[in-house]
Amino acid sequence: MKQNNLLTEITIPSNNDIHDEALINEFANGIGKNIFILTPSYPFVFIGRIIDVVGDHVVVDVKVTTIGELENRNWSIHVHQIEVFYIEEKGMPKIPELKVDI
Amino acid sequence: MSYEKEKDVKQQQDYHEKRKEDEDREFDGLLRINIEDVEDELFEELQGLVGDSILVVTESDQLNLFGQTFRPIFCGTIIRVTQGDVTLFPVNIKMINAPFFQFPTPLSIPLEKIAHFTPNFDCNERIPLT
Repeated sequence: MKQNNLLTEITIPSNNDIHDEALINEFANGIGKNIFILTPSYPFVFIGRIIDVVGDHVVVDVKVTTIGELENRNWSIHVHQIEVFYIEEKGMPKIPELKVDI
Repeated sequence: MSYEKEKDVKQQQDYHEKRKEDEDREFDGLLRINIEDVEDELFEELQGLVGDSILVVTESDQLNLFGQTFRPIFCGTIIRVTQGDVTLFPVNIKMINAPFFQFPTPLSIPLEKIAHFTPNFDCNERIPLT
């Protein structure tokens, strides 16, 4: 009786896995393109060019973020941390130059 | 040793033996799975909503766009759906002091980040955000 309650039917891959992997593919297909990323974690905004996908991290050559000192370097961003993003596509609006000149 | 304890030890041994068996079944190299044949109901539902407007709330409490914090509430028209994300354009971010702020580019939202969504939502509707 008790053992039966512990049985859960699962399918592999699960829907969650598919969504995660498909998302990684999405970034892999975007290597070389410009990307805009919002994360709930500091520094919240990343704008730059995707240069690689390493495991479940996207490597971005970040040109613009909220903190000047953190710009112009490669940031490895965990895919699960990305809340919203936009990979620039041909025929679609360009990511605006959000840099404030001081 | 009490009966209970003996049973525990036996179970542990069984578990380790099972693990050994599993190790014999290791794969060499990459395991590729064709996700085209796997049923993904959420993906199919969203694909059926392409062209419709949708209100999406994502997981985090708040996001930050150059000093402006806001709740992640997005309203827009679905232009593209993949098994990993849904793309909205035009898309409206419901900011407290700018409830109709239109984002200049399309925005993609990872399916796994969607906390909840409601289809056919009129994005011009005013909703209290607090």
